[in-house]
Parts: sequence; structure tokens; C-alpha cells
Amino acid sequence: MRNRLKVLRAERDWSQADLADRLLVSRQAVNQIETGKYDPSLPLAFRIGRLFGMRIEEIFDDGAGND
Amino acid sequence: MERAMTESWRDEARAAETGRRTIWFWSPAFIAIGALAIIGGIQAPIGWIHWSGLICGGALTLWGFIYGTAIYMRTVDEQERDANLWGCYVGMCAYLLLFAITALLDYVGRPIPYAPYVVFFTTMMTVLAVFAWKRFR
Repeated sequence: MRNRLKVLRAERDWSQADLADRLLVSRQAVNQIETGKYDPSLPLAFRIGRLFGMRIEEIFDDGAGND
Repeated sequence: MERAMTESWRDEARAAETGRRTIWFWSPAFIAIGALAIIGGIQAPIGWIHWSGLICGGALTLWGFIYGTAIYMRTVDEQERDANLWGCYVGMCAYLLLFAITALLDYVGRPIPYAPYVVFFTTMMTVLAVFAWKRFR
């Protein structure tokens, strides 16, 4: 799943470790989410959304588009 | 305000990580002390030292495994749990494949020497390889 996590993180000048600390996950998890190798669970997606003050669909794109 | 919040997040995360590391130390420590007690108990002549070594060592080792597992399951993140799931699943498939091959060869009258360590290490290496791939790729 494509996402804007890397861009949002870079805008705040956070490292992957910084973001991992804020989300209470490992740096490997952040790296894999950013590169689209791992899709976060719904609770983690909500935490990411709250951290950046955005809705989930503003960060993640499943490629299905708007119906 | 944001700076203060950032430091708070970092402190909280570092404190949690330090706590996890401290706790992780005790699980292997319990297992090691328990194993030493078991070995001592086995080598001692039959008597109270023998039995207390076996019982106390067994209990300590079991507690170390239970304690370590509980801490691991509480502190692991979802991506690592996913990697664990895949590692264990593929490892189980490898074990079943080994079992099917040996059973089939035995059935057709071409039995191979039973090598429990080969089965064990093949299974464990498969689990570790898949876990590492899913976790760190």
C-alpha cells in the first residue's frame, strides 16, 4: 500500500527512529511501512493519523480510488 | 510546546526500552541458573541435593521461559509478530515436509537413518531465516 509517511516524516525533520518512538513501534516497522512492504493494522494506522493530525486516507492510498 | 512534547515522547520511549532490556536480562538469567541447578542435581548422588537441584532448577528454567515469553508478547510490535507468524508457519511446513519424506521412504522400504538433530536444526534454521527476511528485508 502506498503512503506519504516518508514525506510527512521528512517535513518534520524526524528520523525513522524518532517516528518509531512516537508510535511505540520498532524502527524496522516504520521502514517497512514507508517502503510499502508492510501494511499497518487499523489501530496503528489511527495512531499514525492522530500523530500527523490527518485522516488515514490522507496518508495511505490503497489504489482503489474513490467510488 | 511541540519541542516539549517531542522530548516527552522520546523520554517515554527510552524509558520503555531500558525497562525492556532490564527485564530481558532476567529471563536468560533464570534459565541459565535453572540449567546449572539441574546439571548440579543430576551429578549429585541420590538424596535431597539431587532432588532439590532437579525440582528447583526445573522450576527456575520453566519460570524463565514463561517470564520471557510474557514479556516478549507484551513488548513486541505488530510487524515483528507478523514476521514471527510467517517464520513459524514456514518452519512448521518444513518440519511436515521432512516428516513426510522420511515416512514415505520408510514406507517404500528405503528408510534413512533417523537424525533428530538434522530435523531440529533444519526446522529452526528455516524459522530463523524466514523471520529475519520478513523482519529486516
